[in-house]
Amino acid sequence: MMMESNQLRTHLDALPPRSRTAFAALCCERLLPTYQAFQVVERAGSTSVLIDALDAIWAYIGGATLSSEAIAQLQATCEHVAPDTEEHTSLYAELALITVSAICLTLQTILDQQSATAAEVAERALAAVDAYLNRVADPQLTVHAVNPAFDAWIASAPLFASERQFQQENIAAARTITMLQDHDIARLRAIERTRGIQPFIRGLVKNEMPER
Amino acid sequence: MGLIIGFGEGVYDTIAGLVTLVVDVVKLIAGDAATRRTYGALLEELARDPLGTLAGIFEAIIAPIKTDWQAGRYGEAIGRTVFELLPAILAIVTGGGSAAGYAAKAGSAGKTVDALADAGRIASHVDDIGRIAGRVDDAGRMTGRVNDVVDPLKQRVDDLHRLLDPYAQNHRTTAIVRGEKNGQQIDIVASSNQRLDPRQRAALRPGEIEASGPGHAEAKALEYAQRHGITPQKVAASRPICPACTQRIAESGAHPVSPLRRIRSGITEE
Repeated sequence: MMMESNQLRTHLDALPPRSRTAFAALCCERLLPTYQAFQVVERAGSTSVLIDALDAIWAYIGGATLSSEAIAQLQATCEHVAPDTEEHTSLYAELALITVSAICLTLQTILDQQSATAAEVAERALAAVDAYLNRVADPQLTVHAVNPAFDAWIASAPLFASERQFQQENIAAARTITMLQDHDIARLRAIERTRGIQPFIRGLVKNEMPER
Repeated sequence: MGLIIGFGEGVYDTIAGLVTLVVDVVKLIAGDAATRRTYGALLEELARDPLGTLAGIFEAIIAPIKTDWQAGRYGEAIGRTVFELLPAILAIVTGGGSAAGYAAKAGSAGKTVDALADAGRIASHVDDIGRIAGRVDDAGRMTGRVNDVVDPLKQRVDDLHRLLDPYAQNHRTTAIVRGEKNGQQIDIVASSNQRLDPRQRAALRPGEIEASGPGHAEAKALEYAQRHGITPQKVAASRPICPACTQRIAESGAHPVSPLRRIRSGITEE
């Protein structure tokens, strides 16, 4: 049984603030390879900037403090490497922009500690799947009206269902996050990076990025 | 220099206003419904409250002069006085035809939102006199001073754009093309992404249609209109419209009701 948005919000409300941030950070880890794909395909952006921001977020989840100034600085740095979809036309530019938004919003959860902000990150992750399916599965390549049947198909597509399933698992992982050791968290992050849209693992984009 | 700039802006505005006025008078004579709608509010306002409307016109003319003077831009203030205020007084005193052109200024006072936006006067501040000449060519197609009045279509596109998260707002565009087909008004909404964001889709109202596909938001919505036999009338975008889209808008016969991206010395500015 998969979670709907209102159920997710209820689960997030019940989590302590650091766990909410952990939930959002796990969603971001899943999105990160799409940004990497953007960097490879469009020869633009900087994945390492986003990884640095995620490292800072995980340090906070592990107990470190992160000042509001440092958060604002990280948000500004991330936004600086966000693609503009008027200038970058590939599918991965759209996904990369969503990834940047998700990371900036995750940083925001540290400041506002709101479950609504963490829920917005989950929405961004779903929006990425929606954007991906709209690009790759739409039979019409030129400008056209939206077909409600196609929208309904996307809402029930396996990739969409998987994302909801991953979010449910992320809620469970976030509950125990403060009890995990550093190596457990590293493993969790690595697992999330192999889930979701996966442009590299599925061979959609040739991996030319250095491992980090 | 300030005097030249103020003078230059006055020259530009006057020429742009005259071009628009002539075009609009021709359209009115030809019975163009859109133009009639555009000036309808102004004419009604003049009939209802002639003194109040004229006061609004002068208030709108005087406001930038006051701003320039208070900011120490005395030259600009004098230039505007010579080229805007005095001719306006003259036109109204003599009942000259250009009075109607100045009447469009009443829009700044919030009385004729559409009239001003459609009156062809979008020009952000002209930084130097050299840029004026190039702009005059397009004067008939440009819209009013955006900082003074916001067209309702621009407000709507901004409302839809604000549904995006704050980070996405700075990196993508939302646009609306208002068109007409068989007497029915249709608003075509598009994004610089393939689709509108799911939140934007959920917020669309009856009469608003989403266009999906590749390309800039404005161009996408215009292409949709073309493919579906919709006559485009107005275009509003969440960000300044790029030169290529401005060109497409002009070719379609529509006009922009939100700012255009300016080009100076080959560099595009917002």
